[in-house]
Amino acid sequence: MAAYLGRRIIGLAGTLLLISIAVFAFLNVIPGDPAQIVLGLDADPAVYEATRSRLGLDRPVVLRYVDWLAGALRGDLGISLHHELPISALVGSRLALTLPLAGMAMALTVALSIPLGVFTATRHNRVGDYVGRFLMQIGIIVPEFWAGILLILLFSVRLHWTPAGGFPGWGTVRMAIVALLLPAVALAMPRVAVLGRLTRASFLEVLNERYITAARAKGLAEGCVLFKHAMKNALIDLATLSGLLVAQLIAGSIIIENVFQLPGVGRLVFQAIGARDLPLVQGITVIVAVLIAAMNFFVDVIYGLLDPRIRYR
Amino acid sequence: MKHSGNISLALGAGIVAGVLLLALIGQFYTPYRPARQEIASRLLAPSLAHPLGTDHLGRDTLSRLMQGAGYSLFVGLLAVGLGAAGGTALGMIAGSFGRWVDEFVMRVIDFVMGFPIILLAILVASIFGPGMRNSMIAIAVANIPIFARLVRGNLLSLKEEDFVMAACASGASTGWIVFVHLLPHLITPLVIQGTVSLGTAILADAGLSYLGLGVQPPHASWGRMIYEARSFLSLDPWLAVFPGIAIALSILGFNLLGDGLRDRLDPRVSRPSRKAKPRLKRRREELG
Repeated sequence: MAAYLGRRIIGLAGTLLLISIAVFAFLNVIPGDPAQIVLGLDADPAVYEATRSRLGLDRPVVLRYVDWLAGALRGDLGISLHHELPISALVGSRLALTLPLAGMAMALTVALSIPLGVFTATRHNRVGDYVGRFLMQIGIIVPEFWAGILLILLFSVRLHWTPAGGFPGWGTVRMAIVALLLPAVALAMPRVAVLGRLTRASFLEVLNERYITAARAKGLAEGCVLFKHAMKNALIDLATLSGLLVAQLIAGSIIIENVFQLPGVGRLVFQAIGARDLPLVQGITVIVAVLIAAMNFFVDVIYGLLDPRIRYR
Repeated sequence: MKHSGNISLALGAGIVAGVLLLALIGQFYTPYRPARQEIASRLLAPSLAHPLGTDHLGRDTLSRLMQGAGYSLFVGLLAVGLGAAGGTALGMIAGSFGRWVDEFVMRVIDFVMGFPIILLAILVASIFGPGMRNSMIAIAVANIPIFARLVRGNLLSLKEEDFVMAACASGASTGWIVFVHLLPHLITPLVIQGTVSLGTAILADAGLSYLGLGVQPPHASWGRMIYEARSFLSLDPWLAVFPGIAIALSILGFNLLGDGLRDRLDPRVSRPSRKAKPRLKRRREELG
């Protein structure tokens, strides 16, 4: 396990380095320079020079990268041009919405997709299977932002059960959770479909194994066969996908936050594009990419714990 | 199994043909000019004059939907085409050179694969500004890893086949073997993946244009139409419904077509999920 963990840590470090280089290079070695993009082409030369030195553009690229990386490691991603606040603090406060939202969507996804997958797999090629597969097909083809709008249409505009958007803050936890409920459902819908299909597929495969026949032959209750014997092997397939799932949830929340007008990281980055706030865009991209890399790392570690075969590959 | 494949093939082909037709007609004829505003007839419900109603500026929804279909398919086809070309080239390099080239290319590809399209699009848009071309670039880049992996995986297993050894023995060069002997075998999996990718590309394009990173006004795009409808949900819910149906239906069409093509063209392609293994097992059981 130690060797496996060591390899994963080296892999994570490599990925993080790659992320930092990619994002930095993208915003710095482009034609023209960031100061010009921020100010536009017909900027006053004096202002242009001032912005250049403020962004540190009058220094060599490699030096700037090292400085930026050293700062990033200390949690200092620079100052937002538009908000004139430290980027890490700005993003940190917005993560207080985005992470709970992604977490709720993740919980919903797992809670709905696994039962759905098991249900359809145990009714293979029967009515329940067809109905479940039909629902999952719908989940896959409906874009999450449209699902969000339809949910608003139904629950806010018609039924007046929930607010149509906005966020009251974490002052009253109940109100906050109600505000995040519809966005989380919209975010979870496509993932329930994908994960449900995968659960169904891996259960179908596992249920064909001989040890399942053996378990049934020795007279175990079907529930025990399904949830104790089959579940363990079927879940390993799902574990590999959960890292990708987290990445999708965080990325998806960028759109969903804009649908429901929630003040999270997604809205922040979106406004940053509008304001041409390059350091902020860069900072958010790095933070989100690092979050995703870290989640993938944890998933790999858990995967190694679940399945001893993985560790020795 | 054979049967369900035929049904999805026919249904998928039908839907795709319908969307294509709508987009093509939209290039030459739309009931109204898609950008024409007519304030007197704003937010109309569906009627004979405006089959799908009008939006908050009095623009005809059907005409805008037709124009949007054109942009969606254009972005999708070009992005998937570029992604497939780039991915195939990378996959062929990784698969035929092997060793550290393979290792390096696959590492980079894993990295890009973990990077959500939307972040990529945001980076591109923050520098080059929002627009159809830039969202297309982001979608194309996101497609590269998918095709590279597909091509590399197929190459690696094809390399073990006897006909490659035969070609090798008769003195063919690596390049000749890859392009003349191996490439034709890749066409089927590429077409299948391309079809499925088109659905995903349309979905991604809709999401990006919802955020305003895609086709710019006054041109109509499905995603942007839904965005604009967001403010008039209580007045005119139809506005948000039709573009969404258009998006979902097109994705459904491409997914079904991809599934059907897979079942029809390539029964061997391991469908890692549901079919390959049970079928093999069934065979084995049938044989006793």
